[in-house]
Amino acid sequence: MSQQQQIELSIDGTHIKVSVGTTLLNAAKDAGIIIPTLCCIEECDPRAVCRLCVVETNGGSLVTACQTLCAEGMCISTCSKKVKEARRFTLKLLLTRHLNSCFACDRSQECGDRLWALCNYDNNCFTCGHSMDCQLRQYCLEYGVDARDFPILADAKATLHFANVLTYDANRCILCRNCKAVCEKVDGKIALLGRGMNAKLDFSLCDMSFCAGCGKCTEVCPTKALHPFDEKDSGVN
Amino acid sequence: MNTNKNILLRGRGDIDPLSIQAYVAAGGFTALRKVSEMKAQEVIEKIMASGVKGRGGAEYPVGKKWLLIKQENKENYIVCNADEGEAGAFKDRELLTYVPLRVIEGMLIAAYTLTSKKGYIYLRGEYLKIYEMLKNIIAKVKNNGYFPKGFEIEVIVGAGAYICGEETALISSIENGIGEPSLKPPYPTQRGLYGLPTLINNVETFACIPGIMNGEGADTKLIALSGMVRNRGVFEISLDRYSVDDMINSNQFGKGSVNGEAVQFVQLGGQSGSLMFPEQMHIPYGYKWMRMAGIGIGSGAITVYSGRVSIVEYCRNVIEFFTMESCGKCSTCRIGLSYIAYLLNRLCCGNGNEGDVERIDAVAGQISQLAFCGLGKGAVNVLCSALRHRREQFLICEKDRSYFDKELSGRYI
Repeated sequence: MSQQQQIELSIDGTHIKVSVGTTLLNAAKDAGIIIPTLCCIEECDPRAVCRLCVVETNGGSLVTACQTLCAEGMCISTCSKKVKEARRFTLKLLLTRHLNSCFACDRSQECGDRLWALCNYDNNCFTCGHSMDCQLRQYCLEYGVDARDFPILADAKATLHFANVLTYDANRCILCRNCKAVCEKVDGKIALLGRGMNAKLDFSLCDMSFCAGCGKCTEVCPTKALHPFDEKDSGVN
Repeated sequence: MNTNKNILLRGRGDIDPLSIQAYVAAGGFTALRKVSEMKAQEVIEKIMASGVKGRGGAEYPVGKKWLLIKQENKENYIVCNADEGEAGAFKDRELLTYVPLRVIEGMLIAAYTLTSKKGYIYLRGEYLKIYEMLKNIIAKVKNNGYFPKGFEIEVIVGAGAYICGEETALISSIENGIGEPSLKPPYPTQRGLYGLPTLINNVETFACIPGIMNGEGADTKLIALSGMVRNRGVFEISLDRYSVDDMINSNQFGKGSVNGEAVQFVQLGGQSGSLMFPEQMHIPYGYKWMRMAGIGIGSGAITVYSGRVSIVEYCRNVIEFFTMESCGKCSTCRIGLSYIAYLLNRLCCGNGNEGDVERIDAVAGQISQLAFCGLGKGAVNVLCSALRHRREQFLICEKDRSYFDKELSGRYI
């Protein structure tokens, strides 16, 4: 009954109608407006931890679109100056804890969608090996974030391999916990340890004998810090 | 000599905190008897009429919270939040040590009014001494037949995480989950502990309830005075009557600052509260007046810093505390605070770059609007008010690289 009820709101000046209980993120998606997010995946409940999907309400405050429900008469701006600044800030913060070798090249800002294989410059961006499918990098380019604005504050950590199933590179992990969320639906083997700056994901239970090997955790990783075990990687470590 | 009202802490030091007879002789449990003959609606109306606000720091009207639970009309839980993790706050410890029966009476009134299923006291991990005592006294009260039928109170000890004072994190911790805040709404009054509506009130809030029921009102507040004052401790004061200046200097309370040095600033409500500077210290200590000046009373902690204290180093200390105590859930708080800590460290070590103060200001501003929960938003309160009122001190550190070498000797922080 109440689920069928329609409410009207405006996103970036477009008036749209959605059913009660729709999140702003999905409403915007229906209206063809893509809001960037790193921690929101379809099959799991929103957790609002990456803080990238913020939008501005008519009151001028910032709310996370993945978790806020649409309300009658809302007036949302997804690309105001304030929103863009906040997103840029969040991306920069994430980069301070992300081994961003993909930005080591001087020209990383201008390269955009260029076919990198043909790039004539110093190919530092390829030391990462996953720079092509890294959502974080994609958003950084989109929002014109220069990694050199904020220093890198993280210490280098060793890459871990788990029983020929998974490879986990903590240097690139942004702790969005997507992997933990999807794993909870299957296995619940990924754990979270510590708090604050010491918070880390723990994969020690992801041994062959415990892990169902579905590979979902690697699919949802936005920076590909977690990826299927690769022979090539194990040699580097 | 002491003209101050004494409601919350009545009997402190005079009566045996563990003796029910002594508490009853001093007028204890009369409010509970009254309530058991009243309708729930009347009790809630009486609390609403008193205008009492949550004493943990969020200042949410207590009557409204109770009414929300009552309106849900479901089985519910009540939780007494005794996770007093704020540095400089120790009023809850005082209440639980000297007048635990008043707190329990408040909880029982809530249990009668809301027909609750079970009560919890979430005790701070460091208060181990109180734990045994509380368990004993709860059993005693229960044996004396004061509990509603089927009701019980369990004492749960936290593991010392600051974030578990936040209500959703506290719920998660009681449920044996990770002590991290969860999304609001749903608020705990709608869906809290084990999915049921949950009333979470501070220790002092529960201690206020018997007084309200006895018609004594709720216009007193406990303050925890500490720092560089001669006389430290927990005092009960009438709201709107004294200013912070009075509290520091009067013979009833603080008896002046240590060595009579000039007060630099005062931290109100623990480290997530705001700073107060000498030019504001004449404002009467009460919710309305302080709100008008843009300062929050918070939990009631008042920490005085006088003499040669550097506000820049103080801010660094506070931010480092929060960097450690952040739960690590949202990226803003986890990384943002450590970035500010890095910048402030650089400033304090004489390695500040040009524009660092601007940078700190911008980052703090972003954190205050982007953080997931109250911890991240509160963490930069101190820094923001310091930058608003004492920006020049930060700029001196930025410009003069040897500032701290020259000034360091004889410093307290």
